[in-house]
Amino acid sequence: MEDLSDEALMARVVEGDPGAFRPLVERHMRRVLSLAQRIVKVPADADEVAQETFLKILMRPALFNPSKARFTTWLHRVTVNLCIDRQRTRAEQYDDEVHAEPAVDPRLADLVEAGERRTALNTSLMALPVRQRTAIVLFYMQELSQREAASIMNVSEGAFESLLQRGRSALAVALRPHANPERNS
Amino acid sequence: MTRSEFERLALTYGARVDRWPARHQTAARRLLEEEPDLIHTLRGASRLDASLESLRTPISERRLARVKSATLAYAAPVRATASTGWITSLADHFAPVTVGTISALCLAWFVHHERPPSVTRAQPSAHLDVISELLDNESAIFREDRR
Repeated sequence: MEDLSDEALMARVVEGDPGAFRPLVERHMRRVLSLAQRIVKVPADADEVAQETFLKILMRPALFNPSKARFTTWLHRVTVNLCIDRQRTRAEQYDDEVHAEPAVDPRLADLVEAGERRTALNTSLMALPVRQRTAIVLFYMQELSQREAASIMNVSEGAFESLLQRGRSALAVALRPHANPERNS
Repeated sequence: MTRSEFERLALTYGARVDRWPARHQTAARRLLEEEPDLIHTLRGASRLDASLESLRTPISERRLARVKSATLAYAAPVRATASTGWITSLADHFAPVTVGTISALCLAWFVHHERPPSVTRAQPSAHLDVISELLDNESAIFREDRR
């Protein structure tokens, strides 16, 4: 079972083979959790999204069409959709949490520059609109190609490029006060 | 490719030209050879790339194990349900009155087979009466439920 491809395992899941589900969880949970972690803001939400992703695969396996997409692309798409849904549902709560958290903790004022940049970047990333953040996460953190990421987000490559550009521009602007402007030419 | 287009692509896709859309890569490399000062644009972009990479927080083994375990635990009853899912889906496809009607017909069949030998296939009207009565009762119950 462990040697089977993702697509072959999915075919078995569709047929109702109970043993085919576990290898998929073992193989892909880290990646799904990592992706969810970066799109939703609360770790517990990321955990739940990761679980929901796999349960959806188990309950609706026939939604996967191997002739249209690779399993991993479809898996990312399911995860991203669940993340965006959750983010929208809990938008107000998240806003409250972001406002409640100080942008820069005074006790951390003596952090080294890299640490400050990282904190600022993380705060800015989480403040981006969810679709821009998703584009950044898929392209830079999951290292997917433009084409794959656009497919996962169900947008054209041009629309994906626009999301990526706006997201990255916002991050570059946010980092300027941290003495490391991106555009240096 | 123009300089401004090169700069826009660097701002969008970062410093690694090999990650830019394939259709732009050759032209970008050529422009970089012709105008080597564009390397500064890539250096600027690489700073944000590095910062973004630094945000890749690894998922702890403990957390990973917990989420996997919870998923598999939730999955067990789902798998059990999935094996009988056809029954549920069958029921979903029939309106309650239809299910009731089928039940009535089954009951009628049962009554027919339990009746004394005097009621035989030679007396179909008796069976029809029983079925008709059961269907009437079923419809009345359904109407009551709907109300």
